[in-house]
Amino acid sequence: MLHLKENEKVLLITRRHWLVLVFHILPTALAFSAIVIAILLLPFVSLGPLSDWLAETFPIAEYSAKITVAFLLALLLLILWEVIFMQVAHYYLDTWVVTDQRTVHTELLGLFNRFLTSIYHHQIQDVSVDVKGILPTFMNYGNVQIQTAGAHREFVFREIPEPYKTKELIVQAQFTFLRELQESGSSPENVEKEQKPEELARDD
Amino acid sequence: MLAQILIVAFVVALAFSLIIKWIVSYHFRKFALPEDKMAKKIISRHKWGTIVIALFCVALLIMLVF
Repeated sequence: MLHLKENEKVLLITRRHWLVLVFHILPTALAFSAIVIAILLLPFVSLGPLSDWLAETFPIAEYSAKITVAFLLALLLLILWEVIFMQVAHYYLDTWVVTDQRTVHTELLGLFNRFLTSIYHHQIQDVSVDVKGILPTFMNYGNVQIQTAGAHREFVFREIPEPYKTKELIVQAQFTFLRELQESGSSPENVEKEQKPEELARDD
Repeated sequence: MLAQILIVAFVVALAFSLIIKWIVSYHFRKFALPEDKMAKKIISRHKWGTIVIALFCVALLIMLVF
């Protein structure tokens, strides 16, 4: 779970554009739909050679052969349902959070591989936007790259919606953060020390 | 004999489904943001979808056996 300081305010929570999810799950969803249609049409079609093979291998009637095929297709449906769930989880748990003090990125890289990193706004050196392609241009999504002074030199928001607004928000948040630091007379190192220990940066 | 093979196949597929569900739900609990209603919806819809498909498989097995 993402831990925030008491006075830390969330300014933006963003994920990849919904089109990216659609492109990822489309093949699996099409296969899922095809199997559902095949199961629905099964009572009305003849199995032909498959029915003969099943009757030879196992002593069953054509009716039972159709139920067997429907059952195997349903098992395939169950597996595809889990694959879709994993793809949706992979999309949904890939999150970028911008607060008034830092930017956090969490990502599920695999079933046993997750990643969490954050940078304070004073570590940001440069923010740039990259929108490439016809679809990203018309649907207004792209990458926001942050050059940092931290351990992770590059911090990238991938395929997020409204990248230009996000860039402006980060720049404004950085400006406000540095101004408040200056006014309070505090140093950036003190802000980092006050933060509770975060989740593991990488957990393989 | 066919019914036994199909029952084993069903148990294996169901076990795979439950393991995936457990691991991904763990990641949702660990990584989802506080008070994230969409995350709960995703998990809930997945759970009910799995139940419907599993019940359909059980119904077909019963039709085959009896």
